[in-house]
Amino acid sequence: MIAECRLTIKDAISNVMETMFFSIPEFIDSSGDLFGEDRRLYCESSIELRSEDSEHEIRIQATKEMALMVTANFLGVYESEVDAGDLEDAMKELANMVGGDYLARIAPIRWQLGLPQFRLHSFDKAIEEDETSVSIDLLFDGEAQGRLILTLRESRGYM
Amino acid sequence: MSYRVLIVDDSRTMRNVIKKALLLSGFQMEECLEAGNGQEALDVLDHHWVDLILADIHMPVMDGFGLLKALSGQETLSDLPVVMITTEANESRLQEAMGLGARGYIRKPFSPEKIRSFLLSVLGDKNDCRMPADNQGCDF
Repeated sequence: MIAECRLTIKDAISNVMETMFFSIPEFIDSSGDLFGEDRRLYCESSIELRSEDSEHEIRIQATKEMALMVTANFLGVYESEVDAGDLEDAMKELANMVGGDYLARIAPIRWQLGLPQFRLHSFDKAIEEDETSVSIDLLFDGEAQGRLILTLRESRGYM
Repeated sequence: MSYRVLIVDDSRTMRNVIKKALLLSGFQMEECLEAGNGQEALDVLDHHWVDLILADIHMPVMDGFGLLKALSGQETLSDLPVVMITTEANESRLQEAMGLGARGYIRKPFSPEKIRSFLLSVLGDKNDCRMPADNQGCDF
């Protein structure tokens, strides 16, 4: 199950990034070593997908460089023109679109997308992969710029 | 032919992206109006005529379904083409929108070329059409 979800989430983010943000990421299994003092994960957008019996949470973490690049490409402006509101909006929309694309690929019936969330600085940047979670680093032009975390769990009864 | 378009989405960023995609695609717009939810869209329509509405489904105050219902209840607006632009993956929800009068839906992500050809088709024959799940084209 988790192996299938790993492939699906990669396909979803590749499709969204290529179509809407004109950038194609490379993937590598997460390693904390890639994000040092000079390349910190700056923000996180996330979204929950819920069915009656299970939930998937997608978290997209980005360096400031990646968040600016995503926002500027999305809006068609220079990175220097991006403000904090634009950046939050674009990162939330990224999570929203990746969530929708992922859902369309796994099971478009009886699932609901939650509302995208956004956090600056304060979020868990590393997880231990197991049978319920996946952590993949995103590279752009060979440099680690982001992290994609997918967590599967039993429903908490929101529906 | 140039069209007057109303974009309805609670995300200012997304409204900008849709507008930019239309411009990049070469879609001819005489005017592009914006609203942050269904109620704001109805307020805009009180004072402006448009040829096409592009609306999100999930919005606060009045969502896309509420907007479709409100439009269908007004004689002067009931024939106005509405296309949903959404991340909604639930087929039954999309069919619900079609049942309420949406002329079609476009799933995000979308490319400028696809949005243009889809909208021109909707505006051309005004028949029911929809973007398939793989986002590769339209079924007319």
